[in-house]
Amino acid sequence: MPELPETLSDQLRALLSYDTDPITAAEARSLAARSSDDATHLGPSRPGRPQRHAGIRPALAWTLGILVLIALGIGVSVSFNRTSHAKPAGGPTTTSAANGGVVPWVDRSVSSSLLTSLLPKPLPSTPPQTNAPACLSQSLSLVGFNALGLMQDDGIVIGFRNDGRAACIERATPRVEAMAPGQVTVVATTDPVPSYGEIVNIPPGGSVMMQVHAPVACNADPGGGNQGLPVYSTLAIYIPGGAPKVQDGLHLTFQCGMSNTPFWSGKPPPVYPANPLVDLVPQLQLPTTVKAGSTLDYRVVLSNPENRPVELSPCPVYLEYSSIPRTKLTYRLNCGTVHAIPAHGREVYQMEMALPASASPGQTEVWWTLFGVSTPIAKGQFQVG
Amino acid sequence: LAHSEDREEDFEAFVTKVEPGLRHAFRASYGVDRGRDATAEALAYAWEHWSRVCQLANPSGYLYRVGRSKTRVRRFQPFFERPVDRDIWVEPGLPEALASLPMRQRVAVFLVHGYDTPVKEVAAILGVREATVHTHLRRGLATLRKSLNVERTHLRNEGITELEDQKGQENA
Repeated sequence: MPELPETLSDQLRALLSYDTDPITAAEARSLAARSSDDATHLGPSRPGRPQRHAGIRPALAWTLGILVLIALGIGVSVSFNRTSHAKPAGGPTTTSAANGGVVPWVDRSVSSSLLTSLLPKPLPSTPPQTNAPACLSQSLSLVGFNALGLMQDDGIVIGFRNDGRAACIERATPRVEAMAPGQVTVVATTDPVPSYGEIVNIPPGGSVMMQVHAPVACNADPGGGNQGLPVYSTLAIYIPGGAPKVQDGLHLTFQCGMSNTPFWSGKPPPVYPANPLVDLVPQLQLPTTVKAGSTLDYRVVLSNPENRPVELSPCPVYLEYSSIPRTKLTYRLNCGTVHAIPAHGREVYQMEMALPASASPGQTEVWWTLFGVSTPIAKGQFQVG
Repeated sequence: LAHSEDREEDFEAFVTKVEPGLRHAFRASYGVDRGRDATAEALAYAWEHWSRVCQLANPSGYLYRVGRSKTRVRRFQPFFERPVDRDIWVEPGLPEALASLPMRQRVAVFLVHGYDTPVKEVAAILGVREATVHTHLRRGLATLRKSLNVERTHLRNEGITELEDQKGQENA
């Protein structure tokens, strides 16, 4: 058993011991340079503002993919198997498990750029409707606000509802004024629609949002801080053709000015094509004990409970991961002889994972999954001796 | 070309300097994966606006706000997921107790007591005074003690020497 950390500092360090890899300058430049439409581009970086939208950002796709895999798998399809492991007799074979064989492990590691290219591309979506007549001022009602940041220190987002009987659209950016007793009225400048929003028809009863930004830090005042500044509690939103909409009860300060967006709706989430690999259920066969510094030799049984075969083309990539730091690995499956897993069939694959000599003795957990969205994850345990 | 290379070298050095603090702060704010996303977004922003960012007196504080702004789309979702399975030997209630802290208190506790970050640096990242960080620490630790039902919590900076479980004492 590991020694129990006795102090809060020790407990925090233990909690933080699983850390992510640092962000490198190259990764930051790459993220800045890529546009979302060019998910696999790995060319030289360039300065300047990239085009972005709410889809998966390429440089983060690897991280997000793993997060989705682990989050979904743990909740849905974790399978435990702690049976003893016996290495297959004889030399490597490529016979199928149906014949009692094990598909041998092959050392085909996968780069993060290849993983990025394997992430599914969203299906084409229907263009949003933008053909409704302009909204009348009286048909848009103010329904409330939420803070952006703690204590509204980044501003607020205000919700409006279309109370009219027909769809409408509001393309113009409303004029916004902030007021406080004894203070000068502050007029907002204009912000663009955020990358995750769009100006579309507002159906009857539908909602739209408008952000009012009042950041506590900016280039002119990078350190930020809003001590001593007057607090504005009221905003007036002017929509042409009617009386201003008034929002009270606010706590806004303007050391960096104020700006507001047009009315926007959130973009619908992307839809991805079906992934046949989600039908394959992995199970782990692990040894009871493995020495630190040696190779964990184990097996994965891939079962297909469905009534149709699952093609292994393109050859899938798998992810294996253990609770020992720096044992997160991605490889190609050995598709040399097995090109599909038949309906109600299964294949057994040999796996290897090098354990660092620094691995702590004790119970260790291993996760294994085929790379892709919503693919099941197998989980097992062994002892580091 | 030489200018471009200089620019990239400067940015490399900048990232080496500010990335750990930012990543730790964002991890405390949003959890491991979203925290990494926010760090990447903030540093990408720094590269896009390098000519301005490199002249800032407090770039960490500025980029911390940029990262928070960039993750705004997911602001309304709960964050700070409990680490899975890895930390079973940590006080079981600690992740939830930390997650329940207000963000600035959590960032202060994480950075100072988990990463040994100087209070001055935490103040720069959060854009507040050092005294405010101490306030966040004091309140955060008090909440943690209460959440974990712990009488006293060892903290190097406070000179207290051991963790005492109130229930354990009562049982003894």
